Amino acid sequence: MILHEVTAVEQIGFPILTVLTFLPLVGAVAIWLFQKDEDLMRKSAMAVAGLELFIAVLLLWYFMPNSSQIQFAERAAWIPAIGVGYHLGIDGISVLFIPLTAFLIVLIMVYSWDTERTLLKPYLMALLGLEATMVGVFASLDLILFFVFWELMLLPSYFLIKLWGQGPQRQYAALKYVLYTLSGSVLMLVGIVLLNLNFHAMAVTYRTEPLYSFDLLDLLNVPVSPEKQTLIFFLLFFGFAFKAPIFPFHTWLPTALVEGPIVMSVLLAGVKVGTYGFMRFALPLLPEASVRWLLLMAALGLAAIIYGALIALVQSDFRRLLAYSSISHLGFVMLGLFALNFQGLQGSLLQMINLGFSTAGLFFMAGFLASRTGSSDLSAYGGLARQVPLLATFILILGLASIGLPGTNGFVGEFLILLGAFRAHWILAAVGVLGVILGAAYFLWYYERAFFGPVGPEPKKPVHDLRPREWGIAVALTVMVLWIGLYPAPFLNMINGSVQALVDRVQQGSVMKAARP
Amino acid sequence: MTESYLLSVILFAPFVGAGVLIFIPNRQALLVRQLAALFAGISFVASFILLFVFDWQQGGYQFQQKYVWSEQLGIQFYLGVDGIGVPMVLASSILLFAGIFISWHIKDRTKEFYAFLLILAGATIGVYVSLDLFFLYFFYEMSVIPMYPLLGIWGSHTKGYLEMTSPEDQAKRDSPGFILNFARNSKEYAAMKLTLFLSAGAVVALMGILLIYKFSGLNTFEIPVLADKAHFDGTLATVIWLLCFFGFASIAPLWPLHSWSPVGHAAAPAATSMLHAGVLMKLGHFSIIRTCFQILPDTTRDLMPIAAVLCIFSILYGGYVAYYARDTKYVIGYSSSSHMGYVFLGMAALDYISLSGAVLYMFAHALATGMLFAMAGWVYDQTHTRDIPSLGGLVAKMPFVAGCFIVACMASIGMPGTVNFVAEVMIVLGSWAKYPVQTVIAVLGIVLTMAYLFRMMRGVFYGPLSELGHHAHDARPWYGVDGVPLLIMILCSVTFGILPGRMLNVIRSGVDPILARIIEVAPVAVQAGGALLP
Amino acid sequence: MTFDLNLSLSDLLLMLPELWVTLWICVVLCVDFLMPRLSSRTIAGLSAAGMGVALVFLLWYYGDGTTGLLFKGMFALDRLALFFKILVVGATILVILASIDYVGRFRFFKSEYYFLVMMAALGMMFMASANDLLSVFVTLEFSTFGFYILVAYLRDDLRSNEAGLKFFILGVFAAALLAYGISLVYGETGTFIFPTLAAAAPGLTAGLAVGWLLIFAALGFKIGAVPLHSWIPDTYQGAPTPVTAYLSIAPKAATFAILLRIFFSTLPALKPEWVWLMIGTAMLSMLYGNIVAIAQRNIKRMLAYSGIAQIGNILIGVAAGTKMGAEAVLFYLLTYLFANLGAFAVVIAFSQRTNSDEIEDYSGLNRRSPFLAFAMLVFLFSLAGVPPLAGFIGKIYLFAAAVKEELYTLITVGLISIVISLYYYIIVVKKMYISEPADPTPIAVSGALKTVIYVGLVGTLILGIWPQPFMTFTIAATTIFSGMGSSVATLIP
Repeated sequence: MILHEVTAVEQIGFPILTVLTFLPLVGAVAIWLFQKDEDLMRKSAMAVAGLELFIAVLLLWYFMPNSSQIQFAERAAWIPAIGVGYHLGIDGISVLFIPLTAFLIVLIMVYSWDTERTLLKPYLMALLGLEATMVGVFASLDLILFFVFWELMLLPSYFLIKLWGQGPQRQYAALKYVLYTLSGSVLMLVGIVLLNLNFHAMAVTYRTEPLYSFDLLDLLNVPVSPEKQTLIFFLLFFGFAFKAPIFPFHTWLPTALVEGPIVMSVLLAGVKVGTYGFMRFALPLLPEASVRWLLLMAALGLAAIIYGALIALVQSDFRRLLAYSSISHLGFVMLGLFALNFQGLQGSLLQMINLGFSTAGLFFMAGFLASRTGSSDLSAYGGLARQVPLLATFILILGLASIGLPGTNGFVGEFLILLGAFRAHWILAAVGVLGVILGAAYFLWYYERAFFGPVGPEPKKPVHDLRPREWGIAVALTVMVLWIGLYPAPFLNMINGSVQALVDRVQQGSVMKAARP
Repeated sequence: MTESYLLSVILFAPFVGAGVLIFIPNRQALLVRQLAALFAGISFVASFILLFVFDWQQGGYQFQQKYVWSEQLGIQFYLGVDGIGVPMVLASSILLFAGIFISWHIKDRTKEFYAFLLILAGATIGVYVSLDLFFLYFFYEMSVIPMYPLLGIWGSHTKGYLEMTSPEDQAKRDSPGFILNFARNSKEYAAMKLTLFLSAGAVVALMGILLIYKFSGLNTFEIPVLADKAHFDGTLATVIWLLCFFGFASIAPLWPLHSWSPVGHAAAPAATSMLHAGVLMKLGHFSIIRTCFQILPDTTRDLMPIAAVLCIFSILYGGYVAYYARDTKYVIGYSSSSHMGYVFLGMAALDYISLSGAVLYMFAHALATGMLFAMAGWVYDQTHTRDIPSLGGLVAKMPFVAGCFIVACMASIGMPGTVNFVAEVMIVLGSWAKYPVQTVIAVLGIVLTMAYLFRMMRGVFYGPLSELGHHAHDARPWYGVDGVPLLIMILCSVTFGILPGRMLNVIRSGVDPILARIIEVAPVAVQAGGALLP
Repeated sequence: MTFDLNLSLSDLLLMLPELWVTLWICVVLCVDFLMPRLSSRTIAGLSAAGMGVALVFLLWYYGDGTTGLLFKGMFALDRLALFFKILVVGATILVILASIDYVGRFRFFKSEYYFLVMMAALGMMFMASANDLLSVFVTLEFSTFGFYILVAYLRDDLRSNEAGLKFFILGVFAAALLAYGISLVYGETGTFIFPTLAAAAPGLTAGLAVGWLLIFAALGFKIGAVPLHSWIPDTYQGAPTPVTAYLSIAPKAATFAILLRIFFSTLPALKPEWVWLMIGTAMLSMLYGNIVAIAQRNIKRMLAYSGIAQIGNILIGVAAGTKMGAEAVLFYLLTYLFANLGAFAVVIAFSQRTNSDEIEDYSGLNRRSPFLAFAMLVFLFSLAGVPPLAGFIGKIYLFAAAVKEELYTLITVGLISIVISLYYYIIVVKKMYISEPADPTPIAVSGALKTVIYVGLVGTLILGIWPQPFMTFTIAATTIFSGMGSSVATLIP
């Protein structure tokens, strides 16, 4: 596919993506250097996050819907020797993720306003650093640049889990998380390098400049031989699958989500970097391979759906349940991705965003619960609905969203995915539907046990309902959930253009195109 | 023009410094330190100037100075750098400058320590700027010797050695038969082993150099002349190549010849291990490029696969041992001897990108390992042990050092943003076409690195605070001499990681002409023989 | 045969240095007799001054290139002779300076010591000029007689007596060998003079072969090359240390002058035969000397064995059998002079204070006297051949000469022996720098010894860093060998 690009300057007048990427870093450095007083730290961190969200909304505002163009593009040479460039830009595939990240970070700032007391300064710095790298991942179109942010994400994540985790095993969880993702991403690095080498070979044969390039748009212009595609596909697959995580490589996720701090769980479960990677790079760059391994991938997706749901069914720990449910949801996303048709891709892209509201929101709620009952285990609950009606309601809404009740965003996403899957092959859809049912089962059953039924031993003293700050978080999430659920058109418009282009690309396959104008 | 004397300034500042120190009485320790810092600083600044004055469009050897040194032996005192020498000179002087401050707290015989340290660094720089084989060897051998007193006098024993206190152990631990026990050796043993290994390697290389000298028939040691005119073929070329390669690879250290290196690293005081792991080991690769690559291009093309095979063992073996080592400095030592495998891979692939990557990696690794050793040395000074299990929880006591240590680990595993990452990508990029298997192994080696470095980090800085650490102090970050070296190295590593452009251009300007002769068939020179006149 | 001695004054001028030294010896002796209460220091000063004057003469000769033959070519004063005379006289001066304190502790015969030293020096000066077999024999024995007494000078020290006896008996034995060899050669050729010998001995008859072999054996005994080294360790250990120092340099140097004259200018035709002799001796000496040196506990014995190895190194140059080889030999002798004399000077200074030569007692020398420790470090590393010190250049020179003759095995052995030697030299360094001293009392060094050590240091460093002038010196000195395989320097236009 030939992607034209509109530079940031002609579109909005200033390099907005660079600002989005480095604003949090600047904030972090500022906090590191200047701040002594804790309250001031919180306030300035909050301010940075808010400003970031504001700019991200600007981004949405100026974004041209229904177009497959790369927008807000910025280019600069970085390491010309090996064709690494500083190339930022977004299209329908990545546009929604940046505001989502900024949104979640703001909520996290609000959430940790009074919960986080220890080592406040590094905590805030880690959060802002994480935000910067995440935005960078979504904004960068140069594979090495992407990889840089991708790797740098590990650093703050590692320390967030390690230092502020709540479980006794957080050390182990942190190391496991880092080692898993790193071992995946080094293989991905090889894949990236192979793509570059393929480009190099072409450039040499056709005597075109530049000789080396890691730029997505350049790489899209050169064909890759099918067997090489398979190799690269699996190398990239490992990178993304470990991060996502896709079913057989998921084992780090529950540990990290349960041992780590709430905020980390929110970001891990809410921002689907791994599957984004598939959609951004794997599918367009390696269409033949994607088609060829479609069934395997879809099967992995289905396996994840069923497996996650079944395990979730028997969990007594709320966060563990959420962890497995999000594995199951990732299954849906994979299923939609590798349906490889318009609805499927559209649906899974939308679903990635949805999970950022519903599952992430549920993790917030789990945090609220834990802060009240001092535990996230079922044994501590029971009959909570009477004590904390508001909290119970919000959990119900978000939960229903995550199991895809019509009227919530989950429904739109899962419906589109199943539709796409059905068009790919009815069996896929059939098994997928089974997953939906299981999802309803494990959530509602747990909810019933936790919120109705007899009041458990805990808590002795009456716990009070949502505080204003928590209230704000819950409302914000619910609003988004319902908005996407009831009126998804604007969001779909934003992504349609690129999704369509992607579908065309997959159908045409990677054939030689004229050099980029 | 002044800059033609730049190299002499960089080279002789340390020697002059050492000479001056001899006349300072040992009582005035502070003066000694300041003088050492001053002279190291001179070549530090000068080598930065070198990097930015070096004209990479022009390439070739620059800042040349040539004086006839011995006519009948045909030896010239011939200084000059190309794009390969520049980063190494820079690394040497950075590490020397940092090392001066790292060892600021050494009390015993300060004068001698700094004199030897300066000589060591000066000799190392000498190798990187010599364009005459004789002086290359001259400085090479010269850089080996100061290691002995540095390790022997100011080094430290291993924990195992110190634990053997009972009389029969006392007898046993110093007996000759005990030398095979690496993990529990004494510093004297380490020093002696290092010196003898390196001298042995050196004389092997010397044999090769002498053969080049004789059979070139040019009666000169000048590398450019030999590279252009000398021509070797058949068995002779192979023999010379093998002699030079393995002679120099012993310091690199390539896998079967590595065993001196971690032992030496472990025993050495911090500054020495920094220089040792940072730049001394690179003398091997550098000299191989100067001799094998430049003078025997054809043979290099045929025989370099040897390195491609051996480097696997370097990477895997080194990483494996590093993972199970219980001694901080052993971990770092083995890790660096494992990382040298990457450099060999990059060299073996004989590709512009990968060779440039290898050179860049030498620079990068110098900084990263320098930092690690600096931190390990600091921890040792504070707790007087290098034994990981008996350490722990130091982050509470020394947050700044812990922070720097994490950065160093990140640099060492090639985390993006540090110069190591760029170098690794280039090596992988260049080597894949020729050695895919080795490349994948190397890439997995990165994960291995990650594993053992994080393991060490957890053991030393996290977990419950060990009683050894109760009186530990942090390095003062901003002011004073403790933080300075760490910050210097971190800054260099990150700066060149984010803006590698200029250095890459410089390196390419050095790599291209050399590799051009290897990949394409090297120009055939006049037949060797007495009749051939320069 | 009859000599008609029609000496003109100009002829006599050729041997002015020798005549002067002879005269001076008598002067010193008389002074000692006539003024008995004159301190031995003054005598030492006198003798040193006399030798100094001789040195001036020699340098002057070297300066205006005086050369010539005397007594029908028995006595040759050429550049080679001048070089070795300068070497010998220089060594003698240094040894005299180094001896002052040592001799100061003798109970009697203090001044005679210097007389004997100068006698030996005189003999060696003649050795350097000996140009025929007879004068070789005479001068060799003449120079050795002085040493027979000097070695046994410590009368009440059993070791010294034993050393003297051993040295004497073996010396006489060597002399016998030499005489026998000479007679055989004379019987075959009917002449003593080297130039005529070269002409008169075209082929290699059995008699000649045995004769030359015996002569080589005798000379090999003098330089202490394996397998004729057996006297060296005990003699070195037993003799007064200054004498040991003297013994380890001067006679060997002078003997090399004779070796070069015989094998280079007399027997170039037989090179293919004798080169194996040299190679074998060199290898044996290097390996044996270095390996046995490892086991030594006494520093004088250690230096003795290392000396054997050094002789092996020098023989590499002889084995090369080219002008370049000769240059290398001469240059290496220079470096050896400074390094070895310096090392022995340190040993003297150390034993002055501690009465011990055990390596063990050198522990912590760095704390007791940084100067001595540093000097010893430099000298030992120079002997080991570590840049930037003289020994390194010397070895490279030798190897370069040998590699041009493709003597690879020899070079390999030489390289290996470098590594071995490094080991036992470093052991001493370890004691001095790493081990802690038993008694930390500082060691004072007398002025005279300091001078010697400084000379040694300066020489070792200069020869290592800027050897060019000395190399030209050696090149000029070996011009007479231009005949056999020319030095490469002449290849360069």
